[in-house]
Amino acid sequence: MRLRNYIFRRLLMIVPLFFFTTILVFTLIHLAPGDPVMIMFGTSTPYMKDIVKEMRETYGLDKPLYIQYFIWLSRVFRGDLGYSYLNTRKVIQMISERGWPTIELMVLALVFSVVISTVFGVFAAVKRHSIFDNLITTTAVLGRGMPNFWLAMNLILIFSIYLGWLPVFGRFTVGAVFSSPFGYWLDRIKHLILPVISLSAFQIAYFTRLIRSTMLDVLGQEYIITARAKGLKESVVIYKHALKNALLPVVTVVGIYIGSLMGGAAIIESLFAWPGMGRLLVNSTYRREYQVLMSLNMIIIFMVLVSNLITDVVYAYLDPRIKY
Amino acid sequence: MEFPKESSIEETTALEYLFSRLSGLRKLKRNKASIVGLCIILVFIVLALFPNVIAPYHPFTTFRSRQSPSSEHWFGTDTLGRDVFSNVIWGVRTTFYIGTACVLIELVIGLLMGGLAGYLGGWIDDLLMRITDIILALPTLIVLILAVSMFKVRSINIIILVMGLIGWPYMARVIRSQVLSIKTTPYVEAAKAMGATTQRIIFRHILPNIILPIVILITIHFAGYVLWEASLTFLGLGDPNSFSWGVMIMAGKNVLRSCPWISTYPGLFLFIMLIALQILGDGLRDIFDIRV
Amino acid sequence: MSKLLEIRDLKTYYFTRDGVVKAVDGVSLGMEKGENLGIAGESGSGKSTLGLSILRLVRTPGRIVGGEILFKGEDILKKSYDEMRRIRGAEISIIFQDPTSSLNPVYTIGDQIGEAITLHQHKVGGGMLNWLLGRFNLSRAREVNEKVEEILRETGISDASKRRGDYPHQFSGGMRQRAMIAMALSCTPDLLIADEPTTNLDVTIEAQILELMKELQKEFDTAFILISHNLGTISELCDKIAIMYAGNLMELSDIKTLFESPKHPYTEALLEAIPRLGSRGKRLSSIPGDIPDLIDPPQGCNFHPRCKYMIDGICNRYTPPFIEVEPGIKVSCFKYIPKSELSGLGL
Repeated sequence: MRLRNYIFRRLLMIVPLFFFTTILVFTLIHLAPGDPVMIMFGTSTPYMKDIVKEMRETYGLDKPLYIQYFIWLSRVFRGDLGYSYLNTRKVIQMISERGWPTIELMVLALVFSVVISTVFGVFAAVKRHSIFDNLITTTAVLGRGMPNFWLAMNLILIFSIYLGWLPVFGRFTVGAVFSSPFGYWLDRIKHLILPVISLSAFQIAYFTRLIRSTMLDVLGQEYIITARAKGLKESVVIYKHALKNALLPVVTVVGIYIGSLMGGAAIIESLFAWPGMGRLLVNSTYRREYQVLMSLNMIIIFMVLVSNLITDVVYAYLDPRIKY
Repeated sequence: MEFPKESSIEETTALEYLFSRLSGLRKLKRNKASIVGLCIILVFIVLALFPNVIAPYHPFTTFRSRQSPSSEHWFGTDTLGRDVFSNVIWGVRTTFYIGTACVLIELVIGLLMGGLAGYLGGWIDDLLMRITDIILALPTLIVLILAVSMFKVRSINIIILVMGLIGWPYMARVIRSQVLSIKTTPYVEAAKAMGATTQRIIFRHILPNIILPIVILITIHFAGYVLWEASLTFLGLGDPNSFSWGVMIMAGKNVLRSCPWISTYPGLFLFIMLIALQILGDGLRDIFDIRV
Repeated sequence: MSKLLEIRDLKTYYFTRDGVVKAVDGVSLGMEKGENLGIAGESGSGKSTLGLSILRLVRTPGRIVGGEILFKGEDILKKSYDEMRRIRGAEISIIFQDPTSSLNPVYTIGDQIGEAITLHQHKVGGGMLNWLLGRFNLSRAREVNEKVEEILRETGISDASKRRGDYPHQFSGGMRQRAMIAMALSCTPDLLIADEPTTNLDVTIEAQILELMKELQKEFDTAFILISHNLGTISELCDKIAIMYAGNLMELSDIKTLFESPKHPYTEALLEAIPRLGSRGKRLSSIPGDIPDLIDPPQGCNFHPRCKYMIDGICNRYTPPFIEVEPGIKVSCFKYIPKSELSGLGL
């Protein structure tokens, strides 16, 4: 019951934050010199002045900023995210097409990094000072300094160009026909491997180190000795008693990392020509597509706030000592 | 020589504080890695100051383009025919410029904001913390992409400014918590009771004690800024006229299949610098026993 | 053999970066069934390590390097890992000083006690899979829950059926220790090792816990080894007492004789150091000096630098053997070895 109230309270707090940040972003975007009309027309010659003015009026770009914001806001609540200036396509369509690929990438990267780093982090902690521990820790240090685009490029070099095992661009091979669904999924997976690894590498390095350190802390606690004294198997002691305690602080960090995952997604999507929101974001900033940008931002902010909420709720649920 | 672990009512100089935190020279021995990191950074500093000593050619001289690595061109040449090795070496300077400038910006703003918030407390503290909360909650790279793309001109200085303006909350947070914890120590209270002026307290007590955490944070942030600049450039939002490694990597992106050396080597140097900074930061944290 | 536990020349060392710490250096003692043994000593004397060694719970960098521990006639040190696991919790249990840190904060008390019961009585492993399945095996779960509530009630925790679902941080200090005791006794072990169980508790709670332990002993027929630095606490519960100092046993005696006529100089000094009612105005006596460095202990008897009876040439050169000077009383001190026998011992 109390958990439900907590969630409700947090959801309420999202509303003012949401308004505040969207206003901020709106202002920032519109403060930028130049606007979509300018981009469409390049430098406007005196002959085009009238047409430019007319276009500006059509798009409502001549009105004061706060009015523009309210117009935008009212449209959003009606579900109308506007049209892209450049494509004359509905923004909402553009985004929904690209939403799933990005989510696919981010969720896989998150799960992959948590799983791998838990396995290695626990192993390194349990076999402390062994050669495995040193290897894992060193790799983690190296991973933390690796720029993800450089890693991606090297992976492409090795696995796509020299070895030819994995494809580079897109989510699936264009124009390919598969005789069975297995073939189709295999192709999808092959396209996913490199982007997911590039996106999650930094995460893995960071989490592994973190989990190793929290596990070491936990393994030095007295309740671990008590668990052994009860006659439990060592594996039970580690996975049931130690791990749950060690993963608690990691939950909070995961929430923060979702933010960096989004930034990483922008880079990785650009590199791998992955048809996702990150790439859309980057491209829209060049072209000053206000509508797209505002909507994308709204979504991103919303995702950040919701993921923070989920993280806090999950943590409160897992740790019985938290009172909400 | 024995240095007191905790200063009594005497004033702490920065040096005394430094020594009191050295938890044994044994740790220095254990942290061979951080010594390596430090050496690498020193080498880079030398390269930044005297690039022409190592680089065999001036970065603008052109040769036959797209040559693979050879004895004349250790890292090959790029699409315009410039020697990649020389470019990379000269790029160290740009990297340092970016990192140092950003760190300075965030230090100035962060010290001011964090220090004020921590020292004065009250509604100033609340307000500043709200602002930092909001900025910290947003995904930084996305915000950077938006902010940089606002400007018509692609200039390295603008990028530096933007990064510093977005990055200061991380510094301000830490400074604030350090100031808060020092403010409540008994010896500061005793100093106040003896009639020390605010100025004296700040300069004699608080500042020496926050130097070490700040130094460690600077190391880590330096790496962060360099990486951000490289990422932004990679996305096309960077300054193509600056000589940063990011620009070189981006230039080599399209010819990756045919001329992989153009992107790989600048990236390698970027990688080495980032790792060296990490290791150094970790080592410093371990030696001086600080939790940041 | 009627002896429940017999320890012969046990050595447990810690191999640290600074050197080898000889925490337990040749300790021999025995316990009959139905007897309570107290192990007394200052911090650093090795008494906790001794307790942990009996259950082989000493972890790196510590290791048992020599000796025998005979439990019910069998040498525990020779047992396999799985055999040892069957002994832990079911035949020998241990409770620790700080119940707050000895209980896992993320699982309920009922879960933690039930775990031991399920493991030993239903012979089901405590792994995650079994734990999950166990939640579905309703009949066994009910049985285990009943047992958990029963044992909670026996240790004086009222409202057991609700308390079963509570987490450790929801209990008070004394209740937590009761829960620990409940967990330790849930599988009716023959021997319970209690390492400073009341040190962290208020004096009033301490009295309650000691009372509880006496009652439970009668009910469960469990023998206790009580480890403490407090001679008073030990005298409440134990019949025999062993005095440890810097890794060695100094004296092993029954409670009455120890207090009336202590043999070892260390014991004497300890008893003198206890402030007594009616001794107002007298200086508190303490033992001069410090406990020795266990990496590099002094040559000869470990206590000789602080001993007022030290015999130069003997006490600082040779280690006194641990011998019986009266029936049931053993001492490790050259005071009790007649000069004539010195040659016989190779000196």
